[in-house]
Amino acid sequence: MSLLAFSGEDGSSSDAEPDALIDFTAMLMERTHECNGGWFSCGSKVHSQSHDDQGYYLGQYVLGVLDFSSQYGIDYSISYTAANVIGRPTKFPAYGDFPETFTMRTYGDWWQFAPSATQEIQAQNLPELPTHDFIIVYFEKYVVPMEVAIFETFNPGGVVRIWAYSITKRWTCLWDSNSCDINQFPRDSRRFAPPLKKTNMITKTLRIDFNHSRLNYYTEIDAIMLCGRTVPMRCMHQLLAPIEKRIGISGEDDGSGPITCKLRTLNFQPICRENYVGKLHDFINNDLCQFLMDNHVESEQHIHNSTQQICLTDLPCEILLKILSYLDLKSLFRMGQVSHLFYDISTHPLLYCDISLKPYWQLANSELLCTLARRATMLRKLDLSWCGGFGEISPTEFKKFLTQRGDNITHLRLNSCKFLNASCIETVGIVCDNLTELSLRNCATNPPLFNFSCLANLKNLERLDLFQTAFESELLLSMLESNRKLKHLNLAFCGVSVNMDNVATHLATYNTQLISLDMWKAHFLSARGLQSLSRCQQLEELDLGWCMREATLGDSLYQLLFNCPKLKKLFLSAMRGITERDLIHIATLGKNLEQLDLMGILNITHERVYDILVHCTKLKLLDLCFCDNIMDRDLDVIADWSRLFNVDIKRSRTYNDR
Amino acid sequence: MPNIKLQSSDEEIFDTDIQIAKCSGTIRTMLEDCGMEDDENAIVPLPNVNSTILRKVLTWANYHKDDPQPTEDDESKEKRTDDITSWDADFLKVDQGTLFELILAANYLDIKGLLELTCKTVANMIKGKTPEDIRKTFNIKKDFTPAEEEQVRKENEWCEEK
Repeated sequence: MSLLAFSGEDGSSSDAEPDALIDFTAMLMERTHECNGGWFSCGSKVHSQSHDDQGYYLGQYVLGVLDFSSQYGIDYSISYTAANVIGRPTKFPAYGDFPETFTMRTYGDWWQFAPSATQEIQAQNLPELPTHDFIIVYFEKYVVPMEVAIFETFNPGGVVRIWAYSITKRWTCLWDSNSCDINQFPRDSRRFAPPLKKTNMITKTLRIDFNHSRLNYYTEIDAIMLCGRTVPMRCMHQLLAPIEKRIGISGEDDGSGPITCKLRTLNFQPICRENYVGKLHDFINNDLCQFLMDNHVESEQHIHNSTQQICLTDLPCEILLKILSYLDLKSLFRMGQVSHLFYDISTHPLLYCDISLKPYWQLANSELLCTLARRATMLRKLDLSWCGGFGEISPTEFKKFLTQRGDNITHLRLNSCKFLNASCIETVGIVCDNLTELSLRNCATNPPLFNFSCLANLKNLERLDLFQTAFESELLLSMLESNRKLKHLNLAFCGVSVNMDNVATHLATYNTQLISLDMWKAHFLSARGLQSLSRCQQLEELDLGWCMREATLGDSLYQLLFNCPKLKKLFLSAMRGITERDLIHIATLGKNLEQLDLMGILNITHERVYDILVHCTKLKLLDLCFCDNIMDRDLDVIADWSRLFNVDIKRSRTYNDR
Repeated sequence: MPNIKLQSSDEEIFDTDIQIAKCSGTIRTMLEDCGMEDDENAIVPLPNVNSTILRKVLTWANYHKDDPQPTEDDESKEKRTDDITSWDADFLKVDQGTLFELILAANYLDIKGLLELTCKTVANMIKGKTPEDIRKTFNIKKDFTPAEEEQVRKENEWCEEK
């Protein structure tokens, strides 16, 4: 059991408790579940009842992973998978590249220069450091969070935001890296525990956001610890008492401020039903100013507008529309709350041609979709990735939205959308027949719900991304057959049911315009399949990492290099069948190569590396990690070459365990 | 480099380098259509721009005369508003009235770069603010009926700070 109980510092938190009370109805429900032998009934072993009465400081490690956007490893293996964040650190404080940790699919900004790179939809919504990847984890006990510690054992610095999901079903950002300016990261392991926002929320679920652009190589996470005060039993008992009584109790409190006293003398007894914290915030944000003005006539409004200056409202509509087109979606909505004029302009369909709710994954819900459906009559591109978790978007509302607005959509991204079911996918296939891009990354469910058969209606796809999503072989093949204009195909981690040799044969027959193909950790490609791919002569990017394994290549790689001279990115990680002759072919034929991954190719020597550096003059990135024939003593030479040829060479080192 | 004379609405004459003046699509068209390019003494009247604003516009155009022509393809980048250079930011440290007049001038003169810059600057004055803050910033009167206000507030529930 991954739990650490600390001795309690009792009583010191009394000021925090009244606020915390708001969460307790749900808490109680949770406890009922536990009593009925729910998920985590083992929790009581860890601490005693007497602790429970007070609440105590608790540090706990991850109990399970709810979701993640990508991982380096594959599900049936344990190496580099998300599940490795569960429990105590296994490697920390050691520093190095360890398979026992959680690693994501990418690092740096290389992928943004690759031919398969995509543009963000509605980029004005993005924060300064956008999230590239995330992981959602849960812990055993609800706590009021005081510290979150992330154990980074390789290339620290990827974490940009920490979110907590409260018992009242809201996400709160506990920490955002924008507020702190770190540019230099240690090349050492670290326990990263940034200062958290002060909060009284109760949580046992965290989401960690990563941005890889500042990383030199893959970041690796060993464990995540959530520290905080447990919620005392005493508060539970208070909850059992009727609400009126509780107000009575708090009335005896001497610490109340002037407003509370005034309200008490007025016999102010509001009836609190649901969401009154939200309503209070709402009042403070929106109505308090007006309220104070209305009740304070003598403070007097300023006489504005004495000069003849022109105002924002004097600008012509098309300019106001242009100004509003630079606003992020949140600000655009708020602008609509300003006045009639701005409501009308802010709801103009032209401002809703491209919609991305991905940066607002924590806020998106069915009601918002409904509002957007009314405004987005000219919708072209839609990104709902990461949205709708925990039931916030219902499949029905999504289908309704698509049915109303989907027929002209050209780009649709639904990565990690947990609300998708077979019927949603069916609607996509039936309604969105103008799609040129469909992205369904990480939509695997267990058991697989996906019946993609309606997707066979799509005829205009140029990009299909099925990264980490399971699907049927027959359907994929028929989709390849009907989408002859396909340019980008991502089948990384696509599961065992699809034979990559069949895919390759189909691609060679029907999709010869293909520009990028990702088969990272797909099953499995043989020399025959690779030979077929060489008929896709427009290929600029090919990722075959871990999908050929021990296969003997014959002259298939030579054929590929010879027939596809436009190749810019070639990933051959762990392709054990590569011979010295193949490496010579790479050097002589890979004239346009910019990114080359030879990780884990055992027989590469430093002579061949030199050869490649001399001949592939456009090369910018070369990964030589785990190339065992390149000895540690060659490292200095390689570092020199890296400078001489201006190529970023990745090379694994042995780090000393401490 | 030959010069050209621009006349503001208050009839001030600006002797201007023709290359700088041509950053304005409107002036460029006038010159080409009217064949004024070779005429040293020709005066281009700009009845919609006063001298104060025209002086600012020409200062901006002079500083940016060597900028590459904006490309159309980088569509998503141009929607970002965090790419304003410090010179431009300083240049636009002006009162709101001047800023809006610059927008109108950039629009009338068809200067894409200046129009984008000024519109982004206004967008940045809106971003992240509450509706009440926006009203205060731009001196806008709330003219919703209570029912309308409730309706809009409902639509905006998702983006309220919680």
